[in-house]
Amino acid sequence: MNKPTRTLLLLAVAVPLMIVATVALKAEIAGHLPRIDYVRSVKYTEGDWKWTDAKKGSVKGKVTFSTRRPQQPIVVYLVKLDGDKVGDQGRYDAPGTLEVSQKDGTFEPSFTVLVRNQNVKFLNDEEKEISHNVYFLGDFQADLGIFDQGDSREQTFEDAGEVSVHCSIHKRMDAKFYIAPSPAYALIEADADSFEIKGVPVGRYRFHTWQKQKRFKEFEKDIDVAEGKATDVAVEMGR
Amino acid sequence: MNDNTKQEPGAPATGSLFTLLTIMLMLSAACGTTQTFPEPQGSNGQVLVNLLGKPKEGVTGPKTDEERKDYSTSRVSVEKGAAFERVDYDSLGDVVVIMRRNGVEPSGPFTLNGSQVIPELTVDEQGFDHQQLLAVLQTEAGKSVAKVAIRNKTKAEICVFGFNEADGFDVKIPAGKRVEASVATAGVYEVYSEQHEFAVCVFHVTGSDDVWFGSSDEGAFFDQLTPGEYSVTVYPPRLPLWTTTVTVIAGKRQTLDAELTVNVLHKCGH
Repeated sequence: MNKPTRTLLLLAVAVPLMIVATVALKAEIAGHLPRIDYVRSVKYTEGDWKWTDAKKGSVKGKVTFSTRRPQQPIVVYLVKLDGDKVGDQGRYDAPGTLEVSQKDGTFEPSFTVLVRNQNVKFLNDEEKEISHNVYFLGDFQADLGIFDQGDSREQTFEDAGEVSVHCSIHKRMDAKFYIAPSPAYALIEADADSFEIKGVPVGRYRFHTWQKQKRFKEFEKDIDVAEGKATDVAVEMGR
Repeated sequence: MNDNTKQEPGAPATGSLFTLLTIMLMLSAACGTTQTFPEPQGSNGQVLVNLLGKPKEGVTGPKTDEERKDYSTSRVSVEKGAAFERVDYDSLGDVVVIMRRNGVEPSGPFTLNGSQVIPELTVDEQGFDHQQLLAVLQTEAGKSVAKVAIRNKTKAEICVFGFNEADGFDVKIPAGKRVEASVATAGVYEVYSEQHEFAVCVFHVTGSDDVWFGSSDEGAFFDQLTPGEYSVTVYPPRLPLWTTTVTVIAGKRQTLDAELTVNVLHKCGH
């Protein structure tokens, strides 16, 4: 047997043995499985009253900033109070299903405001055989699984809060949703500074802001909404 | 048996060297890492957190299409373009690991160390080069401060800001320049750029010096730990955080396996 053949034979025997030994050693390393606490969304109750039966008013106002605002949207929304505490938000018809495209490896829309109990349908509308995944992090954490071209997945968001949306396969596929507690919200676009929320059932509310790019302290104020009247709120965003 | 092959002087040595190199390469691949850490000594303990990125269960490689060229045919991925860049679960970057001793406030004040590395965030036309950064509060002129350097590689002035409820920074950076921003409070800051709609970097500032930042293929190693119970939290970008508690024992190394994956999330949808 010549030398090259002997060398090859040695390699063929020794190397697999060494690999097996190394893998076996690694398998001895003990690990811990973590206790995951991943759901921290804000929970609201509906109660017995209906938005359709309630008398209505509106809320309007203007937002001012202590410094230059980021060129990103701001959401203003109302939470109905019972005295000083968060009360039932009432029963309403959630807006229709929002369809989110995943064509070209991009969520479209990449940012949107939903209403609690609204349904979202994620479409894998790629033109090629490309699979995607959808999972959520933030105030609601869950996984819709992997689905292939032509397939879709749906999720109803039953709690309010901020949710980031991702694909576990593609590192640049991201989106952001904000889920308002009820239909009483308005989206102030980047180039606007005023808002109006119509059709608000009368009662006492806590007015909130939410910024997509957080630069100021969030604004809060308790207000009253009266029938047929517009409640004016001067929103001051500062540090 | 006569070997009629004419051999050059030194050929047997070359062949043996090649064999040795091949064996070493294959062993390295089997080990997955060539990092070594010092052995625990004295009255302190160690913790090694293995950061195990795991892709979503059921993910397969990209489909391929046949591509014909003048003289050849090959198969190319249908996932073309930057939008389809895949997550590399074997090497997840910008992972933050923080160990907090339960029941003990982070010790301080920390002396400003001349060799302290200020984390740096580079901004170009596409956005940020980091999804997360980490800094430890230091004492400077009697005050606590954590710094981050921001380098503007675009052709125009940019405005970068990062705030949480307690503190923050807001800086303008001329084109091509580097600016240092600072905060005085521990916490998590979301850093944005006015000029980049989708860029975001999570800046972790901690009062504890039991922290680690790096790529998941390195392993997070903590040495010289006071014995006791610790909370360990791993913050991987774009993935659920991983947390556990560990008891550090004098003269021993505790090894933890942190799974960085979406497979732990609650399955839902319809």
